[in-house]
Amino acid sequence: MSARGDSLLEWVKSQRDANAHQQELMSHWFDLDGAVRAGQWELAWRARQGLLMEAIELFLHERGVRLPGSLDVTEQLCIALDAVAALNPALADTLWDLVLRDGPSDELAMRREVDEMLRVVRSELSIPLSDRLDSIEMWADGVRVLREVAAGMRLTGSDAWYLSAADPSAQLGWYDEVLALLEEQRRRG
Amino acid sequence: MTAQTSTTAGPQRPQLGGAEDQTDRLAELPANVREELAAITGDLADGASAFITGSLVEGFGNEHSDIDLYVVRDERPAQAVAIGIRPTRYVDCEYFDLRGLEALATRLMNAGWPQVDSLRQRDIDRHYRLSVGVPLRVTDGCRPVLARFDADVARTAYARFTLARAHASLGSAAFRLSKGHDRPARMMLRDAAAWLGNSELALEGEGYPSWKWLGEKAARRYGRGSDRFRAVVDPYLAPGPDPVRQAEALRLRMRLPDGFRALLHDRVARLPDTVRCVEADRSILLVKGADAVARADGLAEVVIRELARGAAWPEAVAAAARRTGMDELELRSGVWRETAGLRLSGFLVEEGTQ
Repeated sequence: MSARGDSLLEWVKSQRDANAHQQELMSHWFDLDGAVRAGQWELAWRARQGLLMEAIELFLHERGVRLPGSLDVTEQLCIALDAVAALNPALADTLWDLVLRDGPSDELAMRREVDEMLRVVRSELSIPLSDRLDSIEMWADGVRVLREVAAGMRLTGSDAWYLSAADPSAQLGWYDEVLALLEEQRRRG
Repeated sequence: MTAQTSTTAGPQRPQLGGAEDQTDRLAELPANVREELAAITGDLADGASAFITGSLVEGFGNEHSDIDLYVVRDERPAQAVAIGIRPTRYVDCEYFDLRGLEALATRLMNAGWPQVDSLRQRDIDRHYRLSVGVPLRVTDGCRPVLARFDADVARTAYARFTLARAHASLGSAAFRLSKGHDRPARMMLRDAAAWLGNSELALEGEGYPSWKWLGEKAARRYGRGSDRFRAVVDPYLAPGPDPVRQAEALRLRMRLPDGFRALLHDRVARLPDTVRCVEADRSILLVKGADAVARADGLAEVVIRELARGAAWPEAVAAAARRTGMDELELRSGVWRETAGLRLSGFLVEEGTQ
């Protein structure tokens, strides 16, 4: 077990960055699922690349690597892969191979490519995500923790940032509403 | 698998029409989206206008596409965005006030090549989305402002913006190829191909300003799988392993208008007196005053070394082109992109641009 003290403000900034990546990752997963089902292969490939990019950013964030912000997504990916190479050259080679591949244009091959990317995300980047619902939960957990910590610093506003779909009489907070929705979706399979 | 991809050639873009047309367009949306819209607009305060827009309205959306909403109020809203998770989608809502909307409408007007560097993807995207959005409710105060949003204005701006991005990516790729850095070069070339495809499609009327919908725009314009579709999509989706050939193919496709060529020559920057350069391992450090430092590497480093020797920008880029063997226009594009952060934070100062 390790325990290390950080400046609370620095922690909040860092967690906010991580949460932005979690939200992007969730958004790419919605795109990926929708595009594969609709046969939109170019969108599916773009979403796969975006999802992998966000997973790499979260992998580096978890290891305390803070990247200089780039104004360009592709430039940022190159910077991120250089940072991975400094930690683990073999992993960087694996990731370069994934991002430079040609994209397929049929459903079976696309699903194979997506599965391989997700295997690397789980096993090599140690990000425990299996499906879109996991990505929603990771994002919601990240927001909840950030808001709870920031509340002590009086940095959070109201819950008006969340558009509730729940029956007002249920009086669920935004986080409970998201978890209830995920539970319902998982139960339905 | 449910195929929702358009296979017909030719633009079939939505246009703002009368109340009947808007009712028709709302009726074409999936039932769960219509229910969501009814709930959200029902909760809106009087005096707010609301629009649905994005890929669902554009006709590209799929069963997991987000519901993009814009809400306009007279007063400055408490928050800029809101999000809501639903069973198969999420709702993404952006809030504006009327003054912000007026400023947004003005920003793209008269944006020619000299103004391309001041264009922002987000502004083009919002301008287009507001021009094609389906109003759910519009106040009298919002109506005249809304009329100033024009899809053709956004399409023209997007065609220029994306061509500039494509050429900058090609420049960055060419530099990396000159250094033998094939992997980042291949990424940059893929990037350039997607930007160029988006630019070509915008010129042909497919101006939805979203990079990721390249395939659907090409499918609607040319027909999925057609030769023209493949020529636009494959250099991004499946470019193959030879970056030199990819770069040559992109150069053949990329036609640079005179206005853009002039812009490339008008872009000039210099090192301010408060910044000094310090040699470092395989890079150069820029030290600004007593409290800020930045590292320049890659293409930026090559040009900044020339500036540090006292060369003015035109001489510096010409010398860098000779040193690297690059085409000078590509180098100018690439280095402008790669020094954007340095210019933004005052390590370089722009001169002579509008």
